Amino acid sequence: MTPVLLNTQVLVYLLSESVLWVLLAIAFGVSVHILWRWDFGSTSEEQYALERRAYLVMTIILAAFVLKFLLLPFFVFTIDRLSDLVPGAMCAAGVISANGYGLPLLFLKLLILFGLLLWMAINHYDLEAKTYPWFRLKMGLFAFLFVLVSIELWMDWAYFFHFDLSRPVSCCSALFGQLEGANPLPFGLDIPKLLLLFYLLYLLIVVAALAHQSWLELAGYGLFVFVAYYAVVYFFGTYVYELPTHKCPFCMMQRPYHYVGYLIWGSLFGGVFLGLIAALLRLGLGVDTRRMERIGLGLVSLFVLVCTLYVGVYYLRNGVLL
Amino acid sequence: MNPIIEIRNLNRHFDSGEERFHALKEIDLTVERGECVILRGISGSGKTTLLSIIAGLDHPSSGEIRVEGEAIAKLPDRHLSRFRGRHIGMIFQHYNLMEELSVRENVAVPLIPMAQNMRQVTRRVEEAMERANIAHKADQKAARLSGGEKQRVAIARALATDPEIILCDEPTANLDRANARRFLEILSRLHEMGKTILIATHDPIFEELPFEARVVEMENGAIVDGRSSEE
Repeated sequence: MTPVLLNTQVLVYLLSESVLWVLLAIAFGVSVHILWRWDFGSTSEEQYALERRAYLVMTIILAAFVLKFLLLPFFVFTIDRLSDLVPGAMCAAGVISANGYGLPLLFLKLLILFGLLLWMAINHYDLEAKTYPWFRLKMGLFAFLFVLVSIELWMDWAYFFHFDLSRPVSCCSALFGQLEGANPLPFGLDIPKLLLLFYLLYLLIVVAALAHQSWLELAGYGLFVFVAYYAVVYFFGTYVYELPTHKCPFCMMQRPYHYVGYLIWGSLFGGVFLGLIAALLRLGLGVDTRRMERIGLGLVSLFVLVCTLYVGVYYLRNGVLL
Repeated sequence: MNPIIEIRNLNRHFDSGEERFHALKEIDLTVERGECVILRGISGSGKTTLLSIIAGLDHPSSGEIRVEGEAIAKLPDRHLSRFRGRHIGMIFQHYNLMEELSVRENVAVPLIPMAQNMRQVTRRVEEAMERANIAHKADQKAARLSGGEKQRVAIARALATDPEIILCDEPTANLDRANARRFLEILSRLHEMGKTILIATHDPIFEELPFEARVVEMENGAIVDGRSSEE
């Protein structure tokens, strides 16, 4: 057994994920039974019992999802701490690529995060509507998410179980620009074009959100998250580290950088996901999602502001750009 | 005909191990807007359970109940609370006041979740206290009031949100005759205001109601008779 599994944070993380999975598995079993027998028009004893049980199950799922939501930053924090154990790793970037499970697991976690927020939003509108109009939809989504969460749990265990501490990782060789000459940016973009695209897409999101243009919002947010990732790693991040060769998405989540990475990535993914969900639900369910839209836009604006401030403050302090 | 409460085939049972106690059996009841209905029966006949279900404080085991056209048995909790706040005023046998609060504060309690401004709250509280004849004790703590006065605070609290339906559960059980008669006078005023009133009681003083009321006899959780109080 790898000694990584005896690390306190890893143990807490894996046990928390496992306990939540058990809770969700129970909720899944009950949900299948409820879905099978559900007939909202009926006033029978069985239907009333199902409605009360459904309310209870929704509460359990919601609580478990909120906890899973909190476990994502804890996962990042945990793998960052493991960089002390993994040879060659200076932060979570090295640890996440220590074996083949790490990166797919991180992407799966982001996908699940999007699913959790989508489920929470549908649940909110379903309970607001008095007659559970989207009960089957949200239970179907829950079933899909439960499958993803089950895969995630298996990958969590596999990831931490397959750590080979005798094999050094080489995160920094890539992050510190040893691949000079090869442009890492997509579509042949350079930094000025990337930044222009970054701010133009932000402007597009603001206009689309203010005009409640759902399709435009979907396109804007979808492109923005992609461009913003590269903008943070290859431009704004260098101002966080105050080092033009340091291009790491994870180090900014460490103490020397005041854990600002949690704010940057949290506001980016939180804002984009909420913006996408607001647009999706308006298109799909026809509900009023203006509040969620405003929160999403607010978070994305916070993300843009924080990124821009790092550049601005650096320039004001030093009189030059990196 | 303008029904405000419609109940069809309503049942409520409580399970205890393998035993099942039927608190309400196949209840059918329609109450018209502005009507006064007296649910009469001995203790354990199901009166309070029925009032609790109408108030949305309890759920039926089966059957349909519509209050103000809303199928309240199917409302999620958050809607049920809002529904109660808007449509139902309840007067309990033991008043259920907060003893450490003043009369004014007790009456203001149901207005808190309605997020009104202070001026509106003050106006509504003053009006409710006037209607229940308790305005002169506005700043006195509930703990220092007599039984009759507490009852009037409970009435004022029930009226504060200006609900269409007033539910009274054994309202005169802890009152002497004089106070019970005063309660009937207040009920009479509420009736004149067009409120729909349901009273669960076995107190014969309600035979003296100065207006027409329908008496619904309950026994072992079922309605056994329904007639006008003047019959």
